[in-house]
Amino acid sequence: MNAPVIYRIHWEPGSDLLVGVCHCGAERAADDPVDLWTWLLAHPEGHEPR
Amino acid sequence: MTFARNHWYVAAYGREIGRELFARTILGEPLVFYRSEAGEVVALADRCVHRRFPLSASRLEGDTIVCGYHGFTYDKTGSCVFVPGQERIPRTARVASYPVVEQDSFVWVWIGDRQADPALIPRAPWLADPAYTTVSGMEPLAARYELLVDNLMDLSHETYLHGGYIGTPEVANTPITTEVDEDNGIIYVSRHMADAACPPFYAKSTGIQGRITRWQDIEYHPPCLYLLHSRVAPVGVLPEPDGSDPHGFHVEVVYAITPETGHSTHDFWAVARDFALDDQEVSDFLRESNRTVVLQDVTALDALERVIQAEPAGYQELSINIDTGGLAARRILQRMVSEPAHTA
Repeated sequence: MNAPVIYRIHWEPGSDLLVGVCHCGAERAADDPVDLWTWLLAHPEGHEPR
Repeated sequence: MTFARNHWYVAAYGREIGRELFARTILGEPLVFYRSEAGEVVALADRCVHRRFPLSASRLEGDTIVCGYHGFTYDKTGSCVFVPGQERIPRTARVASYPVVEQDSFVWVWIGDRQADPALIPRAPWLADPAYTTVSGMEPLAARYELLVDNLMDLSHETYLHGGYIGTPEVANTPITTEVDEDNGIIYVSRHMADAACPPFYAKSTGIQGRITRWQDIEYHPPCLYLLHSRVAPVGVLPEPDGSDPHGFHVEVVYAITPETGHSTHDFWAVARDFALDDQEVSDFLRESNRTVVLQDVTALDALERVIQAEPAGYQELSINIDTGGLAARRILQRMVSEPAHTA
């Protein structure tokens, strides 16, 4: 069974920073939710697992 | 039209459908509803196949509708069983019938040409659970459903649009977390306020005096069902380690977002609580307060609809952190709208 495909975006407390976490484990910080969703949904392009 | 067909939508509360013919347009399709003599809900296209007369303006006779114009008579399946003045009933004399399921106090209707699977209907079990007391209603919205989705996915607007009811400064000031379950098409947005002012909606209903710990956990099952799991408790009071929560007050806020047309929406709302179950004053207060809040949204969204209809094409709006969940919802809705009408 494949791992569930779940995308997460956390808003770092005390900052304006969003952190996107892909189901593959890749993470990226950004200050624009549109850019961050674009990056997340481009998986696997540009996603380096942690 | 930008509708997601081949999904279940809330058409009405069960209490709205009886032995009177009931008209409601869903996704641009005029439907007529009634309850059969056995009690099941029937949904048919609200247009006589003969000369288009609305069946909802006709007469229910037993389990058949007799068209008020020329007497074409339709059974529960939409088949014509009588035409005036002749024996032969034309082969094409039938109106579409729609799959219907009654669940969690709602009447769900399937709009689409694929096979309807009742197992796909998302649940809102609190609305029909004796462990909860529920108040509910429906307000017509003269705005496209996407605006209501945007509104509900970003609750920071409570601070500005609903101050004095459910909004306090902490809502807009508290960061959210957003999660998208791609496999199941569910969007979660959470905002947990550790130390917040208690707005009147909760202060008067729970009796809590002073500041609160307030959690808002949104669970949106696009296209139609939106759940807000709301927990309030005196500040610092958290659930027990075993997950039980005897000192928390739980309010399940449920919205069903059903497009009527491309520019209007049925805004179903319900508030279920697990406290003060038999307190009519609390019920009356929550019903009036939530209706007021919904009407504040209606006023705002109706204004947005007018703005959008008047603006030149290509207006570029701006999204910020608070919109993270709304953007996720838009994407999944867009995907649903784009799905082909037929499976291969």
